[in-house]
Amino acid sequence: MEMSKDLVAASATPLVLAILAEGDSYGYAIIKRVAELSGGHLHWTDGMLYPVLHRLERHGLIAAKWGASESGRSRKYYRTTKEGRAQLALQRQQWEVVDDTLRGIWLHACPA
Amino acid sequence: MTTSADRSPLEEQIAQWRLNLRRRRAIHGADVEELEGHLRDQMAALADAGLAGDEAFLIAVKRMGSLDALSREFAREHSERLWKQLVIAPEAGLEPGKATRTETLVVLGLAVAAALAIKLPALFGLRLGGGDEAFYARNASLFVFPLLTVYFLWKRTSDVTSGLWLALPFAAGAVSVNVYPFRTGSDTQLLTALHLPIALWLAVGFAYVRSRWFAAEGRMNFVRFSGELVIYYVLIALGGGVLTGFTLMMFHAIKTNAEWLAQGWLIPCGAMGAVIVGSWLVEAKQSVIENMAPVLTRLFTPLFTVLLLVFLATMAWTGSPINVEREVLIGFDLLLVLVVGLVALLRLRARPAGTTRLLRRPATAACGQCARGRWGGARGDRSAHLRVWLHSQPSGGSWRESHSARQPRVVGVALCVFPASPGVVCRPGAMANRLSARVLRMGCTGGCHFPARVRLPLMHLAALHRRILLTKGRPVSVDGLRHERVALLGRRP
Repeated sequence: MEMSKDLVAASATPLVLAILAEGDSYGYAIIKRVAELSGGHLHWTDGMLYPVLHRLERHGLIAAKWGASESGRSRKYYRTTKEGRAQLALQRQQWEVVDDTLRGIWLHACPA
Repeated sequence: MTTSADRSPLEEQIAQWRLNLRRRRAIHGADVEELEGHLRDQMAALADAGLAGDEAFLIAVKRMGSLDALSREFAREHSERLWKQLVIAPEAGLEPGKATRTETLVVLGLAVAAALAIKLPALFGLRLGGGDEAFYARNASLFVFPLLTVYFLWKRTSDVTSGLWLALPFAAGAVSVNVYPFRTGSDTQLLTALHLPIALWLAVGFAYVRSRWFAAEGRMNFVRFSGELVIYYVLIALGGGVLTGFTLMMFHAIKTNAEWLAQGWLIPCGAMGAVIVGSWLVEAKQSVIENMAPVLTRLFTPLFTVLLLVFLATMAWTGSPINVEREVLIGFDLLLVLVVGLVALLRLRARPAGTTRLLRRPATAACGQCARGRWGGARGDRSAHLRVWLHSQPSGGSWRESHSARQPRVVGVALCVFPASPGVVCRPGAMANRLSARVLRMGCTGGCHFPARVRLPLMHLAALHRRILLTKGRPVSVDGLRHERVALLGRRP
């Protein structure tokens, strides 16, 4: 299914924060988890994830450190911070508001 | 550093991709490492799913997305990176380079040595201000060019023997210039003083390009370097002039005479040291900042052309012949050098980057994107050509539904990736002449005819199907190519 770019972009931040709240992770694993969670519907361009991660890091919502991967290459691992968790809670509230509103009208207008 | 012979072709491709990534200004070293790690993870996962190495590479690269869009996003993120900073630090690597510190120390040492070298003759009683200008004028280049040569020999890690060979012209120059009995104020002395630097500059050039002196590219590199060095030197000289002016003014304000400082130390030592520092800056900024020499060339070439035309017209009009005297001839010599320099630098700029890249690397699937072009449909073609059929992907669809695969007389599929180059537009017929026959997989957009002499090994359609279907039941290749355009080649019997 073709997703609107704005929707994908808007959902990127809460999704990344939530995935990192589950545990520390790195770029590729985040993308795999997103594909897994969305059942294959959300396809993030790999390269686009990294500017998002850098922006979140700049705002202090996540923290990064270099570690070693299984194959021995160095790899950047990300983890969430306190501000990140607070922001996640905030975003969750906002999305729930939107969700409830839309559900309300869809149930009424188009019972599907 | 492994040589290309050691690396497998796959590593070559990854290195190529990494190089392409590094060219983007907004993406810095650590980010490149991160993205490369991601690419390798992706390739490992695809390889587990059953794809061959280079297929995994192609698809992983596609999934990384368009490099242009990527660098735009990075640029938006890190907008301060857009200012082309002269960062004298190694691009790669997460630790600061010891190599850079060594280089800085070497350069500083050589600059100080050059500055001191010009003061050395003062120890033997040859003073700059006091009537020995002829000596200094003759030997000016000998103070600094040997040190510059040493710098380049060190930088290119040449062996000592080539260094010794290069010492010969310097020694010869030094000996001949100082031993020959010049008459004071003679023209010979003036000419020698003018031409010895040029001859020794060639020796410096040899140290600069090393073995590539005999290739046109090497010499052009040296010309570029010389042009840039002149510009940097002028800039540093202007800065030095400002510095000298302020020094004189400030010391004059407290009634101290600082002219001996300016004349004896600042100006000569600065002039010598600036050559080395300027060379270092030119080397450091090679790939970072747009070269200024070509820019200035484009500015001044029209002006010089107009000047020359007006001069010719005036000469023809007034009918007065050129005064054939030595100074005039030297002047015209210099004019010739200038014109040659302008033409050479203009020629360097004139090659469009896109075609060069296309011409140079058609055979390696070096990263990236299909060349952009216009969608063209299948057309009937009776001639004995390999016909490229173009189909844009319905977004989100599977290429298996793309129809040309089912059409009769299409015997195979070839996919290829061109280096990302926004300037390249595939026009009908344009690509055909330029692709080499070793392109194993090709895909492009736009209608193209390939002459029959281009032999392209085609993958059999069924095999490609099979390869795709093997991956977890979902056509992986398709995802990578979903938004790109796939070309199918068929041979009309």
